[in-house]
Amino acid sequence: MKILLADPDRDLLMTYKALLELEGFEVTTAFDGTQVITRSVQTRFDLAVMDRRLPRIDIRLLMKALLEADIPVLMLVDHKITPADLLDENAACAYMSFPFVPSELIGRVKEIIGRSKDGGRLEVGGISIDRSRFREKNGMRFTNEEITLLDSIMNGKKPDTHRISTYINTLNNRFERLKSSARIKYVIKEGYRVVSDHE
Amino acid sequence: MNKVRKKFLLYAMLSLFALLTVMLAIINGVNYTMAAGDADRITQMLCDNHGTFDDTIGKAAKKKKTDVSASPDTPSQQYERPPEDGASRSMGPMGPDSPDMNSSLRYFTFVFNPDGNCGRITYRLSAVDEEDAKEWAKSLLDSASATGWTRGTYRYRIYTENKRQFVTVIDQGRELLPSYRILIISVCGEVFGLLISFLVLRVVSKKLFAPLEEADWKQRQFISNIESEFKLPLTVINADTELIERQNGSSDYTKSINRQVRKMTALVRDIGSLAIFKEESAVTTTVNLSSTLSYILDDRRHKFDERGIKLVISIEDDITIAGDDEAIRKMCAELADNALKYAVGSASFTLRRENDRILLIAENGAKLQSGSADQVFDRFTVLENADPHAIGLGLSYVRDIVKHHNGRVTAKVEDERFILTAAL
Repeated sequence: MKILLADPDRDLLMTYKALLELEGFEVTTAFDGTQVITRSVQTRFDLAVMDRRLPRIDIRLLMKALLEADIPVLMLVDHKITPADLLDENAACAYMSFPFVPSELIGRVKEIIGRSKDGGRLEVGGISIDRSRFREKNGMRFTNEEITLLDSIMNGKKPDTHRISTYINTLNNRFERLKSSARIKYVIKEGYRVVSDHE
Repeated sequence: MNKVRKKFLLYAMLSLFALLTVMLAIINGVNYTMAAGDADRITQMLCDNHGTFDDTIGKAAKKKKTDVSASPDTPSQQYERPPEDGASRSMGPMGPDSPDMNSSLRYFTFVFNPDGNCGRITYRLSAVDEEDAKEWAKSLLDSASATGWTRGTYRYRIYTENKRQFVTVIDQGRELLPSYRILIISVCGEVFGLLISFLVLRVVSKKLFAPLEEADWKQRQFISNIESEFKLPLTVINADTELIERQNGSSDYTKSINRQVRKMTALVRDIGSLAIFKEESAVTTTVNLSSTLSYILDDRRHKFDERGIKLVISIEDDITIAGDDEAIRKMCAELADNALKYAVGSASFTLRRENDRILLIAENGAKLQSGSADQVFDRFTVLENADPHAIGLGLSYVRDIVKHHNGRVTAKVEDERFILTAAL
């Protein structure tokens, strides 16, 4: 499995390269936007772990390029993740806020790579989501957390995602945009349910 | 605009308003009282002259004829000085004892005999016809005081002589006109003055508070810098320690590093949450408040059970609000945790729509003094029976969040129940 690790901080690059390699990944590093572009042209990566504050090339352009190359991106941000981040049309597959511990990042990396390999389709309220490509058939992008959450709700499991209300919120927002009648609601003593919204 | 600056403006304007109002009220009050005094002196003079000045004029004319050679150039001696009261407060030709008083005074005097007959002493008033004036004078007899204002600008005096009642009414319209002008000018002047001072204060306060605002901005900037600049090093130290542990095995020292990093991480997060509402960048989406609150309460149901608190939930379905979802989740969580900390016996949560507003009511049995209800929202307020780790930020967050969503939050204690109402 090939991972592109991009961050302006060389210490972070060095340490996380070593840690990810200990987990058996093949890691290439980049410390600015141009390097990300050249590396991603040379190699076909399974995942890019990228800091939002990369210099040289605007992050939106970088995201667009990586999405077009169909490389899933795990974005590292220094603020709290907002619905606006997740609902952006060039949103990454997943977001992580600094500070985090190695196990969190490694867990997330494995989850995304696993999903992009096995995948399958997730059908809900007339919407069909391609798990491995993190997108709905008309092109709307879903994040890794949203798919995990939706999966556990559909299977009647108790979701354990951090910041669950944000993801419920963005999922409902996406359903609305896709003109689906499906809505996620919390039913007291039962938990989250996907229900049809008749209004 | 800065809150402090707004307060400064408000208090400055209020004190200016009070000062101007008191000053102008004194000026106008004194002016009016003096005008009434002047009128009273004239009626007193009339009274002393048996209700007319004509006699005085006659005497003055006579005197003029006889004394013309003695003092031809002294006008003050050409009329008879009014007796006593008038003389003591003489203002010369300006006051009511002016030599031309008689010719400019508009007045009438009627006399009423004990049998009810009415006679005219003097009648020098063109605004009212005589019959009307008689009725007017008669009606004044019933009034309680011997002197006062009637029909706005007329001053009257009633006096009795040989069981006959004299009613004298003088028209002070022209004399009062300057007083009314002063009053109108005062009011206009006050409004204008306040307006000018408001504009000046606005500009001045902007200059005055600019360093303060800058300091405030720098402080906020500093806090948010701490937050973001500390995060990356913490992440790297974490990863370095992990790597060392993997390569060389964990030791007491690496564990110590981990503990310290965890402490610092928690600290940085706390600082971040303090700064959260000081910036204007909160993201707005549609949040399902019913779902959020239900989830939070259900999530803590077992904790309520453990503490023997009966949880009563009444949540109307599908209540949504435009706002910051993370903040709203935090608000619900703080309310639930607060109930967990303080509730005795039972805790109830109600969410419903009422007249276009969303009401979120958290009610729980609590051993609270009624007086302490308002101070629960103050930052770092920890009530007596709280657990020792409480830092007193919870309900202040709730207040901030509700305010941020243009809502109001109130708290009261009734029958040993603490009731918090948030109207959004």
